[in-house]
Amino acid sequence: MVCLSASAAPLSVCLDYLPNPNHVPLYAGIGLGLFAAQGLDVELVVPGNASDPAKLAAAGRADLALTPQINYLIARNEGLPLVTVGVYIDSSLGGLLALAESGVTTPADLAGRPIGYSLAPLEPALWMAMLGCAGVDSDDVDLVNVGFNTVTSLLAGSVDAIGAFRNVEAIQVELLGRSPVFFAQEAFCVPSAYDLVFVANPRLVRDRSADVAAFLDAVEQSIARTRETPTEALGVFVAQLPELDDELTRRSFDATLSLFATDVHRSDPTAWTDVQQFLVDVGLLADVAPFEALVAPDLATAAP
Amino acid sequence: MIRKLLVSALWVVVPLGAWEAAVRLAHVPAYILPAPSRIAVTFVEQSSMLARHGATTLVEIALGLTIASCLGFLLALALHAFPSFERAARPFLLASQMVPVFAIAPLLVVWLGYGIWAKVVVTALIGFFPIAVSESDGLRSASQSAIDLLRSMGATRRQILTKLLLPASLPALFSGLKLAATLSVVGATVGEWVGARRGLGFLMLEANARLRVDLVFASILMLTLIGLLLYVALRIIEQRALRWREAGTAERA
Amino acid sequence: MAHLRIENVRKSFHTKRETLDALASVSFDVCAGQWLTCLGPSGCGKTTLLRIIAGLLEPDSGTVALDGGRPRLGRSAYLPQEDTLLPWRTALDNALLPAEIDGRPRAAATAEAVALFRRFGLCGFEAAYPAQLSGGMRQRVELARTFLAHRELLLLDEPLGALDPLTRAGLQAWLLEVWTELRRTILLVTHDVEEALVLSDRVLVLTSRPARVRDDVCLADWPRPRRRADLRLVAERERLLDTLAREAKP
Repeated sequence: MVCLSASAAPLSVCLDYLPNPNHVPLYAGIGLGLFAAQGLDVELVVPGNASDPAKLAAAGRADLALTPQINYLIARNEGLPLVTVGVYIDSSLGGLLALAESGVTTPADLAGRPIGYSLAPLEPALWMAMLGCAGVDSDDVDLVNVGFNTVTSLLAGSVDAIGAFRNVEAIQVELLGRSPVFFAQEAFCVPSAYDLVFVANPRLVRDRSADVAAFLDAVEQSIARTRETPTEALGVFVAQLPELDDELTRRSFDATLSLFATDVHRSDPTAWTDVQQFLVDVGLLADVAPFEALVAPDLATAAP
Repeated sequence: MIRKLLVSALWVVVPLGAWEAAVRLAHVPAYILPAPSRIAVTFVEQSSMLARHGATTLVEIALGLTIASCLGFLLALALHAFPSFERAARPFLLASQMVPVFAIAPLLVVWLGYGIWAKVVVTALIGFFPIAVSESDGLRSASQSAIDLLRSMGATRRQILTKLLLPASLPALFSGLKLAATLSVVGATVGEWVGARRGLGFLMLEANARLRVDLVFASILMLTLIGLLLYVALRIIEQRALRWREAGTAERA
Repeated sequence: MAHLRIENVRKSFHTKRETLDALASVSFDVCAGQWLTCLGPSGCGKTTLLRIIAGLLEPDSGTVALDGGRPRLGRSAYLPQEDTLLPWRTALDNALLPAEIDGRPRAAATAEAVALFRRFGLCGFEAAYPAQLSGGMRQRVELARTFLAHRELLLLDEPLGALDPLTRAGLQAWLLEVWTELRRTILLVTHDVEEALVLSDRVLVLTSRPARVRDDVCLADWPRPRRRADLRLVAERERLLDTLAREAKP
């Protein structure tokens, strides 16, 4: 049981999606008192839909939000006042997932066959790029918005591939007794991206810079602690979310451990430029903004 | 006449004006709630895209509503013709309506795929019960003395059905149709939310994900127009089919 | 020609709460071409009697024979007390309803209906809907329909009940004219004593519920047209009103 001091500053963080093993360090941070030690009372908010995190942070209804880097860039392009304050998962998680028995061995095999996705506009852009990279004509790409029912539609055969996380849906399919075939997005012309970053309204960063800094420090500690004692961290996660106490969570968590950012403050400007250029090329971004405009001042440390 | 139009216009203009004022005064950002003026501009700018997606949804609605009408009508006839069937079927019918169609929509999509048919089935499921109930009530609306009259003339059961019960049921049937039409718009949209490649429901999902809330509202506006269009079309058909009723009211007016 | 024989007809209605005895034991004969009026206090079972004759109900006991023992339903022309014009049909189409049900050729039936409309003073209103017609006109359309049913026996349940006295008197006279010309058998039910005396060959007075035949007045030798002011008529009217008043006393 963690005791909070009366002066703990409240901080709300909107997750990017429904709670999943990606979020273990955050829940562990709460359960193990790492945020409280920094004088913070952190509340994790589950979003109603995929566009909520960016909206809530921009509108000030949540202090911070977790969101894919690409989603952040698109939101900012739509005029939402947001900056990135830290990096949570600094490599790509996504790609296309198919079933071995459908005979798909390369992305080129998906020409003319339905591909299901749930997060627009991000996913359509990514999968179009991947298939284009594999030599498929854009007219032969059939994308279907299937909401949150990606795995069901893949298993039922309604679609031949889905946009998926390598550490979640691929394992889920395996656990259900089928053979997954996964194509990593960075292997097919999609620049490596930070798959999850923390964003906030610049006004909040200015007004509560100390709290934000404390939060990021705590997250970094929590990630390190999770790597040191993964069983304990997972146990704390599952204690707060008992409905996720299953084999999928465990396997998925194992696959995710290596993907958390070691240094949440570190961010590579070149990577930001590459990603933005990719988005400009596929028409999702108007132009490439300078690194300083996108990240909070504290994040200006470039990777070596 | 001009006065009536002005009063109707006021009902639209005043809430819109309040909305516009509130959004501006409170500096509500466009990605949370856009002003009506912004929505109007988006609607005009994107009108061809909205029309394209609207056509898809309209086809789904039209097909679903047609199927719902036929099934609902036939079910009402069956319930009328076989009273024992009606007693047995009634609890199931009622229970079927308690299940939110939205809950089984994902299952339908798994069975029927992401093409048009899953949406048509969802739409038909939503619309068929109001039509069946209205027509069923309508078939019971003829007075006992009218039934006696036809029986006394030696009419067969079939003649009583075609010459009395069916024409007497038309006003109720149209009520059910107008209700089902409105519900069909919701049904098609929800069907698209579960999985689609095009349509206004699909467009709303994509626009929301892209934080283009103005486009979400423009889609809603388009859906509203489609709903209105259906309602007006039904009203016109009703006025022709029930011109005896209109004649009566015209005389009294 | 119709020969209606009713013998010892009884009828009771059973509901959850009570048993209603409508007809105790009613017996009478009607000859072809005769005008018989049933007179009785309100609620005495007159309508039930007509419905039994029309074949809509079966008596609990006793017999009803219309031209021998064949089933009665569909063999008489019944005019219910309530307004039974179908609102979605024009006046002419309403009048043609029995012809449609019989399957008679439409052209001939239409021609006959149009002629009858002219005779009934409905010329020009063939295409009107019931909602557009006055009460008196609606009654005339219903009467036209009854005549156009091509049945020998007409069962009329208070056909002029809802009309004002002036219209009523006019229609009574006109009805008499039509009957004289077309000569069907009429069984009229009414509570208006004067109407019974002015129109009928014979008046049956029924008791209150459960109904029996109390009195059978023969008016066959009274010349027509009859004037209300006629002394004989007035005297008879008083006598019958008296009888009915005594019946109505609890």
